[in-house]
Amino acid sequence: MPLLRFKARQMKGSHATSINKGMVFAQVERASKISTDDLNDLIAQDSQVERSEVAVITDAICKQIKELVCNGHSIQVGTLGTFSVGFNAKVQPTQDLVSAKDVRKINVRLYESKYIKNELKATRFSDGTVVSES
Amino acid sequence: MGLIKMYAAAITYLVNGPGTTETAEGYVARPVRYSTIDVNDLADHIAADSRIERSKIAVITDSLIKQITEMVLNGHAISVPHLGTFSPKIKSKLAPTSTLIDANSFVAKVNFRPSAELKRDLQSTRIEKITPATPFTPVTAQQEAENLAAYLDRLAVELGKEVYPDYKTIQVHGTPLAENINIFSPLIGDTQVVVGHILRVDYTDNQDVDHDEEDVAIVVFKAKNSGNKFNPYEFVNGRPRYLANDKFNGAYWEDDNTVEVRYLKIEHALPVA
Repeated sequence: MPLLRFKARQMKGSHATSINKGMVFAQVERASKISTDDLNDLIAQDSQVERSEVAVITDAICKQIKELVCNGHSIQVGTLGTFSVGFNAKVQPTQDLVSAKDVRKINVRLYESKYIKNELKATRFSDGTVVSES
Repeated sequence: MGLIKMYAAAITYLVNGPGTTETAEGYVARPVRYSTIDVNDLADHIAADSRIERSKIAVITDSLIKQITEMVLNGHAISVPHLGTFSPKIKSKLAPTSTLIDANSFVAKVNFRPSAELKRDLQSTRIEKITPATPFTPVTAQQEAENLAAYLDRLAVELGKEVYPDYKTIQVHGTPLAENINIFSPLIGDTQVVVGHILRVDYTDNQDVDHDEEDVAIVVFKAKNSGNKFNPYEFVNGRPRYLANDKFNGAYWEDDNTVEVRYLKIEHALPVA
């Protein structure tokens, strides 16, 4: 069962409004940041494939996912979920007025798989260090 | 540079943003999603484009997904080349003091932050509008279900037998259509019929909306079986992909009697269970 540590943070900066200023919310306290090199080490250990090959293949897989996403495909990445693109676009009154110029931003999103959603539902939370930013 | 095709989708939106009730109708650009590619297709694709053994690609892909999933579930942030960083996040209610934070109300999620490289590539992607062959008239899910049933009836008459005996029980918005792209793909004579394709909802202006609600599109393909297993991925990357997208939103296409494509689009389908 997953266990996440959290810390309390205060609303401030551009996110703070007259209503929520000073209020606190919970944020995950990350256990660590795993770099690409660390990731390749873990995969090499897990798959019994040579480390040098792992780096090349991982790079090829991720590059392929990136290119497919940039070409409008949805990529279902096993237990992790599905990547797909979305638009942040201006609303127009008629269908004809809608054009590519209306697209302000192209986003890529990860829609979690059922597996990971279920795992996350079972997550336990433990109170980490309370950090105040005021 | 990538290319993403778009279409104009009808939406109902809140005029003055969240918290208001006044709504208006309008149209927004939405990306056409060609296909959902799974890890097997991905491995095939990489193996075809490189000299790397397919078996090794499959092993590494599995391990890569496993590592990311496990690390995120255990509170780590993990940086993946070309794509970005995965990390856990929690949605929590605001509280006046840290001692009043209620962990029982937390919802844990996976946060994906795209890399600078991916963001740059996305912003340089070309967007092209497709024009439906026939004007798209929004219809209800019930009407679409009836359209689908009628279409399969016609197909059955044409082929001399029922395409799929239970097709009338197809749920156009419900569990059977969740997750998978191929709901059923019966082979009738030399014709492979593939029914079912999910397009996920694109909440254009509100990224905070819960993604449990999905727009659903059903695609019916009829293609002559070339002797090989019908593969939607090959299909998508071949000529029919463009024809399918050109005829998006309820159009119908027929060419050389080899491929027939029909999209049935359902706007605002019920949440997928």
